[in-house]
Amino acid sequence: MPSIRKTLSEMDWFIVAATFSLVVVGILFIYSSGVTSEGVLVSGEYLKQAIWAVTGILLMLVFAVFDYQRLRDYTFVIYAVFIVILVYTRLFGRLVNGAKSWIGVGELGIQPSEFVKLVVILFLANYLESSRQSTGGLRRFLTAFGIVSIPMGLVLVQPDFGTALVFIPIFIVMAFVAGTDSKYVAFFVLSMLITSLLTVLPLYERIIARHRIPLLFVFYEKPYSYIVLGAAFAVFALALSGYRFFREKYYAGIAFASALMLISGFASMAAHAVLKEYQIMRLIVFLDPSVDKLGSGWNILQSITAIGSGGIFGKGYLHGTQSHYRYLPQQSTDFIFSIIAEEWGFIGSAFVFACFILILWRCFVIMRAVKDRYAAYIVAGIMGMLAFHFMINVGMTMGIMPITGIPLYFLSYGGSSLWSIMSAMGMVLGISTRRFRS
Amino acid sequence: MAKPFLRFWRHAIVLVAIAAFASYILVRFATLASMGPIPSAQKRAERVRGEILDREGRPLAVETSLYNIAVWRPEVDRQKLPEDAAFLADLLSEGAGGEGETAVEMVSRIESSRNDFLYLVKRVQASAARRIQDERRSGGLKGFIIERVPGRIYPEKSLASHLIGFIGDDGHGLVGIEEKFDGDLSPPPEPGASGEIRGNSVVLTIDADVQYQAEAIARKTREENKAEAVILIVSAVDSGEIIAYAAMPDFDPNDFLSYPETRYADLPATYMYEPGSVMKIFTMASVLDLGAIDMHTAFTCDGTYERTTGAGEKIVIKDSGVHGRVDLTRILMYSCNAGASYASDLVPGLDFYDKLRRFGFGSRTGITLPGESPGRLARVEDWSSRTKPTIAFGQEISVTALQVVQAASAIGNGGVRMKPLVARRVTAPDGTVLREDAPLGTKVVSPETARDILAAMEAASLEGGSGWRARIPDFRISVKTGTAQMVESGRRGYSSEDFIASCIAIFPTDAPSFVVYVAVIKPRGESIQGGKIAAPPVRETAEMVIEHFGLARGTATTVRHPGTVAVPDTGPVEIGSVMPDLTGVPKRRLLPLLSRKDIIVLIEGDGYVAEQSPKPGEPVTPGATVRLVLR
Repeated sequence: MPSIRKTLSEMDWFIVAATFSLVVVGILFIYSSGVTSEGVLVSGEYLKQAIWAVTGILLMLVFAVFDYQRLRDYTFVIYAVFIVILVYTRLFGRLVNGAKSWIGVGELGIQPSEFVKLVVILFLANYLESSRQSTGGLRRFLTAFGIVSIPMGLVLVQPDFGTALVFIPIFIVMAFVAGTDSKYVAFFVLSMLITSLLTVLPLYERIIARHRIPLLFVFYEKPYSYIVLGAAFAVFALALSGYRFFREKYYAGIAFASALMLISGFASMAAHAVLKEYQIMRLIVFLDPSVDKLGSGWNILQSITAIGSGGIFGKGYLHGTQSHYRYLPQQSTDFIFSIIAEEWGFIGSAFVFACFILILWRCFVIMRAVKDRYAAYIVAGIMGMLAFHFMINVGMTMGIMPITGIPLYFLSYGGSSLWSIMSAMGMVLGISTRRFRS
Repeated sequence: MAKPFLRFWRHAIVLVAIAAFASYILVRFATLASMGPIPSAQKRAERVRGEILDREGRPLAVETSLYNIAVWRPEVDRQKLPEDAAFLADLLSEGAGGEGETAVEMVSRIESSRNDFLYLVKRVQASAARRIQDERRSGGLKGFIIERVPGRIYPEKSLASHLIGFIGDDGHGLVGIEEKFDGDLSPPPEPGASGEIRGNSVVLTIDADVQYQAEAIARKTREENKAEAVILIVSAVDSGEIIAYAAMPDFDPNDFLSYPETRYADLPATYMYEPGSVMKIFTMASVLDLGAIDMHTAFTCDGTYERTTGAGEKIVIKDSGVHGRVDLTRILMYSCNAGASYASDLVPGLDFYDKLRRFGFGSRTGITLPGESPGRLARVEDWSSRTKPTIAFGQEISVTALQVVQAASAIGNGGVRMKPLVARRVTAPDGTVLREDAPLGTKVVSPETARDILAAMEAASLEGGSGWRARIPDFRISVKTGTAQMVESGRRGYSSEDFIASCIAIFPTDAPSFVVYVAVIKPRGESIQGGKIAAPPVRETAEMVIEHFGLARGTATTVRHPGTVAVPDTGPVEIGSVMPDLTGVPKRRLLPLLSRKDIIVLIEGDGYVAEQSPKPGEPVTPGATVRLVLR
């Protein structure tokens, strides 16, 4: 087939090389994570991962060769099908670690939420491109958010807080790149930040700071919070009508700020109602792991110890103590980076780091080069998703990001996440070879 | 269509955002990697320290859960605060471990605190914490927080405190058995272990009852003689097991911080002193065993020991009295220094030294206690011409009380010295014995020598003997007393007011089972004489031991009763899946139940179990509450 030859000759070999390196390193360290301190292999996870890697490479090839444009007309159908699958998963899925996020038969199963991220990227890219000239600013932005929030909500109720969180950067990056009004994006980003701050504030004061930050309690303690919200609403209404009458930027600014307060206040109340205390605890414990040494802080402390003990050159492959003595939890999934850092040191993990940066950089270059906007949005979404996974996961192992339980793409043990990222890389490669098409 | 210019900036912002985050992570990574290994808190597994039990399984140190009660002021219901405080003050005043704060004091402390988070009371017992928890569940006590802290309880308070020791804030033993057996009581977790790790238990050789009475005698002796300290040891002759290990003043390990650090000193094992005349039983046994004298060899004591050495040096040592012709029996009976010195002239220094070393002087006994002192016995080449005759009556040699007891075991045990034992065995949480400290004997003198010395010591307990105050009617006992001037600290020569009065007894003389040794350090009372102030507590202790172990009195028949008495197992109570009948069980045997985390055990009142729920035979499931009412 000519398209295969063309694909191969114009393939972005940087991405291919980096992807292959990461997958191989992943299998190596999943093997290492299954070895106990006595040198006995107790886990066959690395074999399964190898099988998924081989099939994943096939998937990548298929998506690279297959013209992404041909899928474009069906993105809504795929999206709708996946929403149904998510509902089915929530209702009849397999309960693993307290969440219904699996469907499957017998030993075989997949996590639909991993693939949904990709489906959302495709459908959102389609919507953003087709609505670019026809639809007004706010409506386009809100519709785009609606497209993201439905699957996000379904994942959130599984409950899988970490995976649900990934939809936010996907949305922000794609909406921003697709040229939605930067005021909306700024509003969204700021309201997300303020909401998270207000959500964790009471627990932060009680557990970590152990004193109250002056005046902030008015935002979360009843009845003050109601008064604040009421005031915010009144100010917003006044400023909005002021803007209607006088068209002064001054009023728009006040409306923006008060709306921010209003939305964040409501959102944080909703978060308090939905999230359990231990879930919020997991989000803030990285600020001071010692407050919960034996609980959620444990993972962070052990991981930091592993990274620190690896030093510059590492203890050598299969010679890490933290992992082989099983001090690290979920060492083949969430904390795989800690094992790499312990055994290969800073040098070895800097290689892993460099591979991720290289892929992100190539994504960025392709996004800049591609003439087709639909393709550019897809690449932007994939880039946002990959960057978020990478930073949150690696940051978590170093104790500077909250514990969210999202995997490190390419490296973490797990078929669904490996397949979905390999498919995504295939799409990026396919887009890259067709980048001159408009 | 978005302008290319706009698109470029948007892309650049995305790139910069990603790059900023990535650099932040990279910088953090580099910092971590260059910091090197961090001492890690590898305590995933919760460690429950093992227990320390007496020889009959009575708990002397147990692990329990205690609770800190704190308050997070912002959540406190201000209107209900006085009421809540009254509830807490009331609860804590019931002896749950509070400081006796009144409700008003509590409220004012909460109101006036500069912090929003403050501890109301630390280390309260489970029953109180439980009631606070219940109250919180039903919506009360808003803002009050319960924190679980592992705690060590010494149910017998100051009993055998020097022996048992205590643990520091980091959970490691600092003194005594707690220190020496730290690795057994709280073994480092197996790599990767999780859940609850229970430490091993240490079963001591002491008998809590004997210990208790021995301590009472030691305490009384110290008070009556205004002494700086009193040491009292009871040990079993044939095994070397220490039955009582008392040192006064003592301390309460539950509250060790409120005592000066000097109190923690384990005097019997670490305190070195010149033993005085008690030493004569070992020096005379040495001379006798070396064949230099027999029971009929006699010396003339005219109040001084005099000898001119080959070099022409004249050595004169004054005795406290004129004893005339003395043989070995009389030397011990009257405690004749000159006689002992003359006897020592008949043996070569090196042989004499070797015998004393065989008795265990000058080296550690090897008892399983931290920081034991080896005493001091100078090497022969360092001896002056006065040294041998001086050692003969117990000076120019420093010993520990444990060494004296150890050496005495040789006299009572047919010439075989037994290493002193305080820890019988270490048992795993499931009860299997991991290690046993078996009796270890060393041949010192012949059985005949031991028998002869014992007989001579018996004479000392008779009318006219220096230890007559230790005599027990209708009971054969071998005794030796001593009064030693103490070397003045920082100076050469002896103090005129600091003495150590001591007395040792081995009994019954015809079938020795026990050694009792009392040393009164720096008495300031009416007398400083061992025969006057150390012999009476030895008699009292001996009578108590005779009573406790049921040794037969009377001259007709004496039944030998070994120190290792088999006693029905009355160890701590276990609750399995079925509720046992606990009626009549004393409180101290219930204490280990408090450290259980799978079931909730509520103990109310003091004394013995009178009521229980569930009823005997009913199932006990994890999470169940077991309520025991004591009266």
